[in-house]
Amino acid sequence: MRKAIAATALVLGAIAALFGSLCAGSVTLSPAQVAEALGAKLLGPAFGAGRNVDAVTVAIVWELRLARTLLAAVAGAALGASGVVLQGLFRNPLADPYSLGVSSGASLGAVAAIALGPAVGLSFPGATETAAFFGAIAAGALVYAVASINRRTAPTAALLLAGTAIGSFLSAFVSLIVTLNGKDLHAVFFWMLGGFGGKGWHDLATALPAAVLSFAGALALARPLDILGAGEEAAGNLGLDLRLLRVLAVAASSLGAAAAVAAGGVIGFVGLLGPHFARLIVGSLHRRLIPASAAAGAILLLLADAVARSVAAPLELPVGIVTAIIGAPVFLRLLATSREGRSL
Amino acid sequence: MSAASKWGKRAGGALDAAAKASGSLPILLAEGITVGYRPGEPVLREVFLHLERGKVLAVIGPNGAGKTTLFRALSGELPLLDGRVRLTIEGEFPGSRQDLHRLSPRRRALYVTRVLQSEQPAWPVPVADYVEAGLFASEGWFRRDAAGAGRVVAASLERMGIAGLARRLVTELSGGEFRRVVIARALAQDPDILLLDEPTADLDMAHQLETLSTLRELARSGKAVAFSVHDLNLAAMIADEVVLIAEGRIAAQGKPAEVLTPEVIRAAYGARVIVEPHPSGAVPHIILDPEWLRAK
Repeated sequence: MRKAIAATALVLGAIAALFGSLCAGSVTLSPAQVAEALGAKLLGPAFGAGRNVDAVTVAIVWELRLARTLLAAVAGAALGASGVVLQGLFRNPLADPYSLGVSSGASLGAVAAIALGPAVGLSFPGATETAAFFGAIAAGALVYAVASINRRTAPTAALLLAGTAIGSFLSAFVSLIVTLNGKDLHAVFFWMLGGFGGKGWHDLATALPAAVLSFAGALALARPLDILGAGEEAAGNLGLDLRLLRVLAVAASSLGAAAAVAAGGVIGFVGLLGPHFARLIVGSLHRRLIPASAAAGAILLLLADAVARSVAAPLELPVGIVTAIIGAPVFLRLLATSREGRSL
Repeated sequence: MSAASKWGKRAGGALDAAAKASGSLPILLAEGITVGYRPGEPVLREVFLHLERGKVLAVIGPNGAGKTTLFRALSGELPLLDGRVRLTIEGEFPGSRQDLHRLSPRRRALYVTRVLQSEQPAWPVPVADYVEAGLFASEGWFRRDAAGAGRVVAASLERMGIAGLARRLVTELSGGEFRRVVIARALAQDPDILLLDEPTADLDMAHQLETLSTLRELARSGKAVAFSVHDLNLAAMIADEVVLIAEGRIAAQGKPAEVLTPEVIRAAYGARVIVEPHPSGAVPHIILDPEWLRAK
């Protein structure tokens, strides 16, 4: 019963956040205006006939806000689900979707596209996003491959260490490219801080399939991740194929993180806080935790995006700044109160 | 109908029952296994032993002798450097003995499981859900029958006398309670062979005996049970057979009274002991020799 209430609350919260985000921005709209604009667009002229629906409002809601808002929700959900999968794999609530270094891979891809793309003739709309996506996937695969070389080290710990090392390695190349191409500094800087400004339906259509696939993969891992909660040795004795779980968890989380990063840049803390809030609401069983964490991630990023658009309007802040300002203190609280004897 | 039977594991039910009645068929055989963590550095050499339905085997030996390593090999977790571990479970592997190490982890977990000496749950999960993990081997990555699973879990908790803990969080239990939760999970898993790594460590006297009598009862219900233990008197009290491991080999093997002699113990542990009949009856009773203590 309590769980049903929690689930309902999360769904309603996500809808409310979505709606609130449509209202917020440089022009503040009332919920009624947003509802009318959506109705006019979805139900056609018959709906708008009796009402005073303004074409400009419809354009703001439909063209400028709805796509980016949905994109933020999808990115947040992908980060929330990916975060909880890696936390389950590492048995550690301080892991996040970028623990495997995929954010550095994405950054390197994006920076290469921004700085080097035009020079080699690879400059097309969406080149940055595409490069970021594949950079993230490549980094995840590389980390997995490197961590699997030495069969003597504990493979899961090796994943975490390889993720850190390869992340730093790739970041060095990001810095190198930026240093050598000073003119692109501004574009790179803004991309890395993350944001959904100027994103539209096309971006949503690109991000959605990867996010959905990653989410489905994460859901399929729910039970194995529960089994792993007992520890690797105990899980092996319960019949868990650890290698299979490891490769699928890395694949699902990397795909989710890649979808999110391609959609909105390297947005921090959502993949850490989504799981954290979801644990408080639905507990620790992954079959509930994964959907709840996706919902919590979506809500967090929707709210952060709404704040980013509104506080300094008409100027839009990078959403990564907002998530970091809210997220870092919460993360520190989590660090201070998490159980003893744990290390990331 | 248990979850395991749905998976088609119990094909040879009649054979199974017959074997249980006769009560002494070896179902796991270690055939000259050499075990270690690195090639060329064996921890245990040329171990021959077998586990039988209805019997409890105690594995004893000094610290670091390789008791846990032996169990890891017998559970199939640790690849062997040499030799073979075979399963001969009635009706399961027609015409051949199955090499345990060739089975997939899930298949293996249907036949044999090792209960660890200590285990640290990562998440605060309710006891009932933690015990339900025992059904993973028979159900797989997706839950099939939630109601059936609920019944198996309830019965396992009941059998360990911890039905009242079902809704408590595993991270908030005492050591003794958690130990019983882990054994309840092994009951839900329901393999033919149970290996328990020092199941009595950290337990008080009464809980030690309670746990060991559960092992006896498991054996009586047709399981093959092996446990490692430091307290030689507990081994003598509970086990049908004792295996003493020392210096990387089986140093002695047999009935408790045959293995637990002052000479054998002295050779393995370097400690002088007095062995006399236990006041209550047939089992040997081992006491450290006070003279030897003083001489140290």
